[in-house]
Amino acid sequence: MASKIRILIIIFLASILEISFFPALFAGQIAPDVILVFIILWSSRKKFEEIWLWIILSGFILDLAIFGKIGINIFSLVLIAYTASSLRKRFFINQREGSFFIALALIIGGTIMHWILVIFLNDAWTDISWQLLVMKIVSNSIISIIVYGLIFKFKGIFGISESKLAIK
Amino acid sequence: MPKNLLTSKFIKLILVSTICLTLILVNPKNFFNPVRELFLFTAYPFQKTFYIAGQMMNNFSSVIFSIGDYKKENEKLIRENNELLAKLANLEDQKRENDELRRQLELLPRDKYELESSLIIGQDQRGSGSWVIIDKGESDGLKEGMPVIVYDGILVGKVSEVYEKSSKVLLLSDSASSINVSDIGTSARGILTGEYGLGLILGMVEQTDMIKVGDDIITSGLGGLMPRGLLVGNIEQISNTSDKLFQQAVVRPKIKYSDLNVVFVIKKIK
Repeated sequence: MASKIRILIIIFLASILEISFFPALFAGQIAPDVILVFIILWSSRKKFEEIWLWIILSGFILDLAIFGKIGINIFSLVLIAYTASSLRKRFFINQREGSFFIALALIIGGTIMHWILVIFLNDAWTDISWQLLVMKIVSNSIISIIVYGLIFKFKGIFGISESKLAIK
Repeated sequence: MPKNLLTSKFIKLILVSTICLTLILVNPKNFFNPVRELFLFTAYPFQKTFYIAGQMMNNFSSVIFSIGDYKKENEKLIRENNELLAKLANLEDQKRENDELRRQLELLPRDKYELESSLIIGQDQRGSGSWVIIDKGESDGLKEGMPVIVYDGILVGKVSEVYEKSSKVLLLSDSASSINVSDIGTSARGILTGEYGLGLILGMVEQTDMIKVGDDIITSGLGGLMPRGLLVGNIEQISNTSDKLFQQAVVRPKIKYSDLNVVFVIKKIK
């Protein structure tokens, strides 16, 4: 129970960081998708079935926080987490030493996928800016270093154990 | 369908996707309002604290990065100060002329508005400068459509969604934003829309109307709660629409929307 409350607080604070802290810190120019990065890194280490409700909750909180249509971020995050989780077995086994770089590749792919999905579902094709997408990829990659470190430092909270990396 | 696709994982994905896509299509906004109110109420103190902390760190880093430039800046400022003193006398005269022009153009002075000052506590995380979240809401008398300005009556957007303690402000740069405006010099009317990456676009200007580069653009006062005379920006570039029926212009905003800290909502005209 305590672990679930901690995860809830982490997701809540991640959404505040994404909406309020980073846009203020970088004067609205860059705002890393903290929740997206967190979800990708988490789902790349856990089975989708074990965390899918947390992903829905994360998407829901993000949809609430950005005053958007409910469902857009849920759908996008669930789809990305499903993909990341599916690639988990294929890439992470016996690749522990280079796992961060695989995670980084997932972050880049996930960022592009999230970007396209959100634009498509918001019907905001006029808002497309490739420059912003590049900045988003860079900022998400940088923030992923911190999130990656934090997830592994507190892996007990997120239910990650080394044994889960092995195929049963 | 292959058998391994029908796993519980895949079924969950399909189920969630179906529900989400239905929600997006139906968009039952009011249905989730109580939950959103609760979330915003809970998040409000955190948003405010984190936003201020972010700004402080931004300011601090700006100071750190600019220390090396301070000496040069100081010498430059001394030179500029001397120049400015010389120009001051000239400006006094221009101010009188400006006041007269302002009167003629019926620009509304700030003391004619009932303003609600608001702190920005959140921004569009896509970085496209489409909207901001302010710390005032229904309990402060805010309503949808109210204009949002900064000092000196420069329009930045309008309130698009109102909740108990916070509101969403759609900035002029958002592609969904549409405001009736006119040219301060020639009174040519048009519609100002946001166009990402190109700033603001003044469209629907008739070919018989005259607009020129550098002209200031103000609100025309037509439609909704928008008063006349709020400054928006100035014309940067003029062109014709592809069908040659109308003129259009790129308008440079008077302020940088990403630098906003405090804004004022016009609740009513006194």
